[in-house]
Amino acid sequence: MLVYIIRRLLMLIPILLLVSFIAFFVIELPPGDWVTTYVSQLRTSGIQMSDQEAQRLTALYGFDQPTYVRYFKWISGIVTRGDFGWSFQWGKPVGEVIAERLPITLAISLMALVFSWLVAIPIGIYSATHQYSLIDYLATFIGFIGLATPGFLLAMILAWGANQFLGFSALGLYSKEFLDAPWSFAKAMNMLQHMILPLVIIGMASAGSTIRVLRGNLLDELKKQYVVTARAKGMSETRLLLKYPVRLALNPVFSTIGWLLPAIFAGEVLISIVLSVPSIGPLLLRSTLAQDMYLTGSIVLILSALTIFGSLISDIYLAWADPRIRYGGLSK
Amino acid sequence: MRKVTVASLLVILALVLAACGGAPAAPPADAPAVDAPAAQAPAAPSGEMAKEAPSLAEAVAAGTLPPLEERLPKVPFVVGPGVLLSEANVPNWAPGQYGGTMNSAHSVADWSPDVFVMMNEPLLQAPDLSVQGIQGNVLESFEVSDDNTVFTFKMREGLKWSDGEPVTTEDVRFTWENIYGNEKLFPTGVPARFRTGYDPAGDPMTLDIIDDYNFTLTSSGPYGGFLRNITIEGWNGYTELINPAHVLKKWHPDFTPIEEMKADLEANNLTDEWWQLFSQQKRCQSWDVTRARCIGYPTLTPWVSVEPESPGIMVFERNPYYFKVDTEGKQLPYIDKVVSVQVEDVEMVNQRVLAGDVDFLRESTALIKVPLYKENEAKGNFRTVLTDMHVDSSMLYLNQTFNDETWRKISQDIRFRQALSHAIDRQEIIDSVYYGLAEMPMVSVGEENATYDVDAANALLDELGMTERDANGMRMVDGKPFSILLEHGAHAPDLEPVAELVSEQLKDVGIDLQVKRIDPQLWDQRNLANELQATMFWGHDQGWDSDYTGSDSFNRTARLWHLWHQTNGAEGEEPPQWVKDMYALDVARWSSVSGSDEFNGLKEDSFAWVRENLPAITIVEKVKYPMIAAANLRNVAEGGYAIASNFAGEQLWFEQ
Repeated sequence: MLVYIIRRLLMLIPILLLVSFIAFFVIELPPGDWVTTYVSQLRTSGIQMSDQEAQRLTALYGFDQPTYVRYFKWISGIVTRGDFGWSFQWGKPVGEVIAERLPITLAISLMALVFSWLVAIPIGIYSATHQYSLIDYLATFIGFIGLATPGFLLAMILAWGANQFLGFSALGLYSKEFLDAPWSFAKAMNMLQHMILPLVIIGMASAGSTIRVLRGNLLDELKKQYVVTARAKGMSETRLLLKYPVRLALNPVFSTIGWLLPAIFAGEVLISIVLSVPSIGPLLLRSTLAQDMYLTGSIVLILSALTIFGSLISDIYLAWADPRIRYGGLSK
Repeated sequence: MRKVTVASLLVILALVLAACGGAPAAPPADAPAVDAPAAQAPAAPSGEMAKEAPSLAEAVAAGTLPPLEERLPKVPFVVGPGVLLSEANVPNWAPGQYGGTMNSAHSVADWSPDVFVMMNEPLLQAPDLSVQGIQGNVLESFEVSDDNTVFTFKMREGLKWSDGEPVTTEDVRFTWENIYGNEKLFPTGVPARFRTGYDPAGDPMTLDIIDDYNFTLTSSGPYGGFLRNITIEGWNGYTELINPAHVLKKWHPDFTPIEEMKADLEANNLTDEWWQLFSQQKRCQSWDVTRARCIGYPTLTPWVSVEPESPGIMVFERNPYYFKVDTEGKQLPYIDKVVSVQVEDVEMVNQRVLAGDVDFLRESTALIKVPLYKENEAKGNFRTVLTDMHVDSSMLYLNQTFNDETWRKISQDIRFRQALSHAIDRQEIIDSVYYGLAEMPMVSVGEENATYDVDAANALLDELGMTERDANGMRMVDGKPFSILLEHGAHAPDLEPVAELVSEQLKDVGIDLQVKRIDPQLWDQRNLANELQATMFWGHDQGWDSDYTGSDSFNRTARLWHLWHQTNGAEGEEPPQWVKDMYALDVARWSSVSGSDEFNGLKEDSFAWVRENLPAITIVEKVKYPMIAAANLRNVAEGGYAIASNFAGEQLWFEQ
């Protein structure tokens, strides 16, 4: 097991190098570079800039150097100093830009995850044990809506509703009077209020799928012989349910923890954009559009690392949680 | 030039004092009484008005800030009715009260055009951003020699950077010699702005420093337009000529050995490319004002950027050394703080407007949203001011040097352009896309060519020999289908619908115009590579911009001719005589003193030239533009250009 984990971890290094390389070059593929974005941004705002001035900027920003030279400088900065480079767009080091948005992204993603589990697991269990009951139909209906409604649409509708009926502006993280206020209890409460909508909307989507997966699996398990046997032997219904079938039915849910890591890091892009939540997802989108390559490259690199690392965790978790997988793997 | 005599200030002061006996904001008892600059304070009566914001008065009282008279220049810039914006546009100008936070929102990373425009301080200025009535701004005054070659400038003595350091001719000399004169920073020398006739190939002007506050710039030929060129042309600011030498010297190898910059260089993966560090991170130009990296950088702007309490917002607090006062001698700006929040999309900027979270907005508004704004005005506590857009919103450009012989022959024929102009039903576009809030292009097209007349258009096209038609009734040239590909970057919300309507309308005269939307960056690149056949973009204006001939738009009108002119004949293709006439008109206008009778005459000649040659086809003129202002925001323009109102941020105040 340990050897397996170490081998998997070592594999990370070449994969990440390859990913960083591809990410960097793909960013360079579209026409232009960050300076052209910058120049056209200034020009559209009415600032005159001649072609010569634009060329001068290209040289000043080091874009006259070949791609591989810039790639090498960037990657060696990461490897030797943990320095992800400079974000042209934000005029700060990439590390700082990401660090600014990381807390709120993690907070929302994790809370949404917990919210979705808190909602989905009880409903899923109830749906399966009370199949075709009224509440099952209702849960199924809600589950399908959660699955089928695009989150950004829901976000728009709810944000509009909150503003129209409650007079509450759900956009951003704080109301305008708290924007530049120092931290206080009132500001924290204000922030929590603003986080409800993103939490519910992001949570809804994954709750929908979790309900469906859990219900399906549990129904399968409930029909199995060991359940019938246990029941025949007089085991209490609750204990029986939670100890065996539910544990098994939850496996597929928990095995996705690995995939969740990158999602938790990036946050939900579209919903964040609609609700103006300053998370990392919109940051990646924006930097890609502006060809702010060190920022894009770094985020892609981190996401890839988390994806690979996450699947490792999933594998380890499954092996630990499910003896069938553990022994099955060993017997080979 | 503006000089306010001590006497007139005192008179105003006396009147005001008489008018408001009990001023609401009396300064703390121990705060030094400050009054009109360079005048001795009369014994302060108990009801004397504060001449500075309460927060600054407190800092002065606490000894952390020098008193107001030491912070203001000897001759401050006095803002009153008709100074920043004409009285016609702000009929009810009134001196204001201190206080309040102006909230705004921006969607582009680290960049708020609204805040930038509000902050921008050019070297000289004229009301309404016009060319008429140019006067000192950051610079106190100027004189021009009779032959329009020698410009003598007087700086404001006692003017200070926002960190309290004095602004002197050393800052000018540093900019000229160590920035423009450095071959790493400016390989091709000083920018066109400082070259005779605003010509990239013209001789550079020469700088002579007279003393700490006076200097001259001399051009080799007449260049009266230089005044306009350091007023607002191309949204330039004081950093074109004045940069804080005391800070920048630390990052310039002429003053600091590169070894001392090593730590910063290495942190940016650089070895000894100090010029990259200098321009990307250390020097802040006027349009860098909203960048996070410029927090703490000395400026001359009304507010200065400060570290925000939470990420994702920009915060600007009043500059205690700002050089403008109002007619009562109160130091500007009135508003304490400007806060702009970063949102993830431009639509979300408008959402914040509707929710009442924005006190002022110009750049991200859109005409199409006016009904929505109006509906939410009461709830959001704001008002929608319909002002003028500062560009001609949509123009049809036919790249006359596009690489296709047939196309060139046809598009270079004036009759073709006239025919297209006749074939466009502008009224329909005005009614459907602009809600009737735009006018026919009488200045840049003229009544004769702007009339919707399908018969005239057909006749002109037949005359060109485009008589043959295909099965769909579309005209052909030499037996081959004739189709125009219009590629636009959707830079503004009206470009796409206007292009689509024009395409429909041109079908009636048998012209096939295909509209394609492409990525703005690709658009840029195709434009520069002469690969755009036709496009839809905005263009020069009759008002604030001084590009009356539209030569700045020649990049789109005829890329290769433009390139030829820009590179002084080294690249591109030599333009025909009518285009050379345009460049000659430009040079003549730039040689004359901006705003003079000679200049105004040449301006009319330029418009006449445009109407006669129709280099590009303007669709509409004088498009209205919505501007959002909080209901209690005062000294906001009721008319004129939205951007001019945006520019005059220091005179805005909240009525409490």
